[in-house]
Amino acid sequence: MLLLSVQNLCKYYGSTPALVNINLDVHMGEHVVLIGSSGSGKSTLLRCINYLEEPDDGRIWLDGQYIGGHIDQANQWVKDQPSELAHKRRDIGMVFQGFHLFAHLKIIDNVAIGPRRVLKKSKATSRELARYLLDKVHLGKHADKYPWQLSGGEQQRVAIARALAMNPKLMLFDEPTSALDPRLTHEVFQVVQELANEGITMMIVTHEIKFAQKIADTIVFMEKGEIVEVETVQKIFSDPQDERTQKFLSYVL
Amino acid sequence: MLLALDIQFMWQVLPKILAASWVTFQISVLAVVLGIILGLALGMFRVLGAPPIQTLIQWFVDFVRGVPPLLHIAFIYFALPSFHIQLNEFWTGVVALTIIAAGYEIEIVRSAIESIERGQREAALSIGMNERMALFYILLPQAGQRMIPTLTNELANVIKASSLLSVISVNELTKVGNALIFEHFVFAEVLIQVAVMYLIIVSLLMWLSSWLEQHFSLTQPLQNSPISHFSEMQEIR
Repeated sequence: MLLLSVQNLCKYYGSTPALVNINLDVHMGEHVVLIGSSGSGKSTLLRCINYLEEPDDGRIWLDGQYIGGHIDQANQWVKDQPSELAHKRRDIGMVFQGFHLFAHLKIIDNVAIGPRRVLKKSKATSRELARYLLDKVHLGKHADKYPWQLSGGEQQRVAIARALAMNPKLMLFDEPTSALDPRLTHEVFQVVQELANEGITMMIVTHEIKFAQKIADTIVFMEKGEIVEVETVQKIFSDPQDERTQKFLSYVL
Repeated sequence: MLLALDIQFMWQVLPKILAASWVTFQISVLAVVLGIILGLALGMFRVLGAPPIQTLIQWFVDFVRGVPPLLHIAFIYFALPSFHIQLNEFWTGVVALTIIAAGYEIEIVRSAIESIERGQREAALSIGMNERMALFYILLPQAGQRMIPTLTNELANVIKASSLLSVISVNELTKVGNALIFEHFVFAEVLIQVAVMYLIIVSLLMWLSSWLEQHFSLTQPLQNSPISHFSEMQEIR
């Protein structure tokens, strides 16, 4: 079943194109990994999907509705009010390269604040959910610490729990391990793998090709703001079609 | 004795000095508290409000910063009555200093909020918060601690600016001190007493400020945290 459909997406920074006519479908339970060199538009694509960056053209469709606007009865595109957009963003969890845990909140409250303030659940319910999710990312014993007391890998796992607390339909991972050493990277990927095994739909931007091979159903290769190739993981590594894909993979494999 | 102070005289005028200190203290406390409330409220509209409101608040800030405090006081005392708004000397002082305090506070609030790493806001939006929630629950609590030292500085200036109220005959410290000097032609004794009183009042503010800073120091080790370390790395790359 189709969950996400990116349609003719374009994004410019000034006159520099960051994304050029991107079309991509993601199905429920699918694990899509985006690869490509830095500056190829992978992160921009993720940031456009939840409208942290507003696309200049094209549509994002997620499970029955468009993000960032809707089409009215006269078939006109109407932009979302900020509150509508905020409401739609609940369905999309995001994990950032820099973790961005809320520095003034304890670990448990970093996870609980979404359910508490956005979903207006009771403090007890929110914290209970947070504890459950922290256990899931193997950090239950750190619940009462502050972010700066945790390692990078631990912080990133908290960030994952924070996103999961909103029960999103789609999880976006924007280079989740680029700031981490190999051991911490492994820690984080283990958690991501466990989530993948549960069937959570995810899109991951990463430079860790081994991990991509392991977790992905589908690989998207991007270059210069364009999608060059979309292929199943088996096919793309054994038999890449596009010359540019072949060249990129020859560097990283 | 090298410095021969007339202690007896100092003792004799102490009640007058204390009474004047009390006036200065009252005006200062009112102006500081009201200034913080008004400044915080306007500061939030400066960040979140509709563009015309933001512009309006920015004009207010420019006005406060660009016009000498003495003119604010004179304007409220002498010009407002033509608009049928008449305040007595005491409240003229409170209102003028409140406006000055608020004007500086707005800029302090804005810059403190903007100094919070961009990722904090984005993370808040990504879990479905709107801008208002992100401001109240994520940005302001972190900005609050950062603005305390700067704010303390500005508020100390506001307290000292209360000395300008002597021109509209508020019986505050400077006015009373001046009067005593010209009445008795005694300089050092009076000036020392007045200075000590200002020091005490400003020290109360400083003490409160450092208490607040410690009390809200949950994010104090931020400088050493992996987050800020990382964001530095990110900027270099």
